[in-house]
Amino acid sequence: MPDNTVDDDFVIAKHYSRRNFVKLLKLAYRNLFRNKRRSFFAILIAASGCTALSIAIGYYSFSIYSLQELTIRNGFGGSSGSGHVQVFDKRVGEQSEERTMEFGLDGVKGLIETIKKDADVDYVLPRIEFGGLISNGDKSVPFKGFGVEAEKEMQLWGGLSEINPRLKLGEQLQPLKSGKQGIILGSALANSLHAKIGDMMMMYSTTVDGAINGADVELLGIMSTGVSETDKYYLLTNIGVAQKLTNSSKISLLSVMFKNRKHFDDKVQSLQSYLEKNSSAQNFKLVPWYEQAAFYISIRDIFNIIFSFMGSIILVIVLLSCWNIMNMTTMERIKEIGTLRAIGLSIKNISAIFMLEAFLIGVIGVVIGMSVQLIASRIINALQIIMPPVPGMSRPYTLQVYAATWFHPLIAIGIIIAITVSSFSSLIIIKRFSIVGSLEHT
Amino acid sequence: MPSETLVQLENISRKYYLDKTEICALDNVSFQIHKADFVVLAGPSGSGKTTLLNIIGCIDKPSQGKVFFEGTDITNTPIEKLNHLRLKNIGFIFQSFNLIPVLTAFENVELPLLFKGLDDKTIKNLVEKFLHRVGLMDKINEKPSNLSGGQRQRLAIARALAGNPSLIVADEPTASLDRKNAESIIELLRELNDEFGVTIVLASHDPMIIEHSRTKLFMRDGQLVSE
Ligand SMILES: Nc1ncnc2c1ncn2[C@@H]1O[C@H](COP(=O)(O)OP(=O)(O)OP(=O)(O)O)[C@@H](O)[C@H]1O
Ligand SMILES: [Mg+2]
Repeated sequence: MPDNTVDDDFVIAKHYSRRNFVKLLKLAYRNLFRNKRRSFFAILIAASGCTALSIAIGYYSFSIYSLQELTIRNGFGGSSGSGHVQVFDKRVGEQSEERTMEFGLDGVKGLIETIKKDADVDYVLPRIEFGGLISNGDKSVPFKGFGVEAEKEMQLWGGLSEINPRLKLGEQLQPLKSGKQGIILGSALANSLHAKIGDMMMMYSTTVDGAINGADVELLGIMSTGVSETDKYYLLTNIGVAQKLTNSSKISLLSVMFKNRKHFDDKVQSLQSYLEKNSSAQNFKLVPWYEQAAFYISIRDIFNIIFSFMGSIILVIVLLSCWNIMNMTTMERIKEIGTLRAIGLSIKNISAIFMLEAFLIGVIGVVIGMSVQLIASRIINALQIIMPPVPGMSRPYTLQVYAATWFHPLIAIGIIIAITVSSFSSLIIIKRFSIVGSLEHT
Repeated sequence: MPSETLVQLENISRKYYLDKTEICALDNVSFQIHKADFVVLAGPSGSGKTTLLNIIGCIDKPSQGKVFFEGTDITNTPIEKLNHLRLKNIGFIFQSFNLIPVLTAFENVELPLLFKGLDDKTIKNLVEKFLHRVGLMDKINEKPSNLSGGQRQRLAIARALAGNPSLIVADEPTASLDRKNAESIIELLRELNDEFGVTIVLASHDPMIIEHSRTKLFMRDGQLVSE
């Protein structure tokens, strides 16, 4: 008798499951070269899906980041940018003001100096928000006004050119630096008053004492805020002009810009406690940008829905296409499957070969897809493609794709899982045939 | 004549249904296969040789009757549960060799052994021993596509034999080979039968094979007939 005695207990085979796994993986790898054209198509599908998803997520992350920066630096739907965090009197939003500037911030100079000492803070923008009427002598129209420090506001707005070099928003504020007592009007507002640059106009508002006050101002500039609705009532002036009109040295709020947005909530928290310690005169409320970004949040939510939907569709398409390919691959090898089953390999082991094949296709596809994505997104960014304005906005923008590397592992896993799952089609076919049936299949 | 029974079939029938018409591929067949025997199933095309061989090889079930393998009644064990039994006890040789084209000669023989829980060294020794035995040591790293028909069937024999089965079933093992190769394959199988005491059951209508076999079973219309 031969000496190759085999232990009765097949549990022993489990000791070698890792070795056998490696062997099956090797077999699966070689199987990829059997029908090169088909494997090529499967890999192409995996790679395309991966590229599509990673470019989509790159575009998504560009869009989201742009929206965030727009919210912070330029604002949506009715105000200028919020800055990273706004400092108010604690009563703002909790009680309503009886008089103009009742809850304004006092001792602004000292307060700004204090805040600036926080190491994370880049710069601080004082602002006055006020309302009133603007008149050309014949016609008076209500406005919503912002008294700003032009220099700092330009820095805030100008930061957007980092996202989009075509956006030179800071320059719109240039006229305020002329030293004249003047204003900038939203384009629609200027239109309705038939006002041209250089015209003298009357601006009315209420003072802190409740009296009506007026000021002669020169129209220094006309601008588009990017939101057509806002352009109808938008007025911008130097903080000094607004203070004189309201007859107060107070301001409405301070907008604070950090050097960057890393560990954002910690920074807000530490600024809050810092202010509590160093400025006992007043109680403050700090509002981070996203708490007053309803427009941003609604767009983001829509984006999330659209992109999740798109992503799922891509994954489903990848899965179904590969399902088909695995079907053909399995049918082509049905006789071989019968042989392996006759020899004594379990269905589990045999379908593992197909699963590993699909897995390898997924892995190779992901590697190729990611590389293509790297190149493709560079090309897209270099092309500086101009996109039409988003609905409700009046500015076109330059299409960009961000790296979004944080999301790439998820895409890779998604694609690999989708393709591996597609190999269940093999299992279904293997189970559909009897051993004899698969052996006789031609 | 060896006496111990390896496979016992009792009143085996195997029916197929094609559009409601019943085809009786095997009709009440009973016989035993003795250990270390060299059996040929002969008979005209369609007489039920392959059907019977499949049942003996435990890859098919009879519609009626009982099957015993080494004394164990496996009639009611589902085919899929018999894969350990086949892995351990049965080797297969096919008419068209059925080798795995992407695996080398070594790997083809190795594959079933991997799943028997043998260690690497034992496997290597076994593979080399049997490749040597069938005269393919110089082709050890060749893929089946680089082998001749005769060499491919030798490789298949090495694969079937390396796991030390008690039974080898071979359905028309020489039908794809020329005369010379067919003869040498049969000669090899006879030698291995003597050398290792492995039971061999062949289906064939090749007179040369029938002549070389120890036990000859003739079939006609799904029944065993005396010559
Ligand atoms: N899957 C099947 N479905 C229906 N009938 C079948 C099937 N397999 C075999 N048969 C029938 O069973 C009978 C026996 O077939 P089998 O293949 O066992 O014959 P065989 O003796 O091996 O013939 P050959 O020498 O041609 O290989 C034949 O009539 C055949 O048509
Ligand atoms: Mg046959």
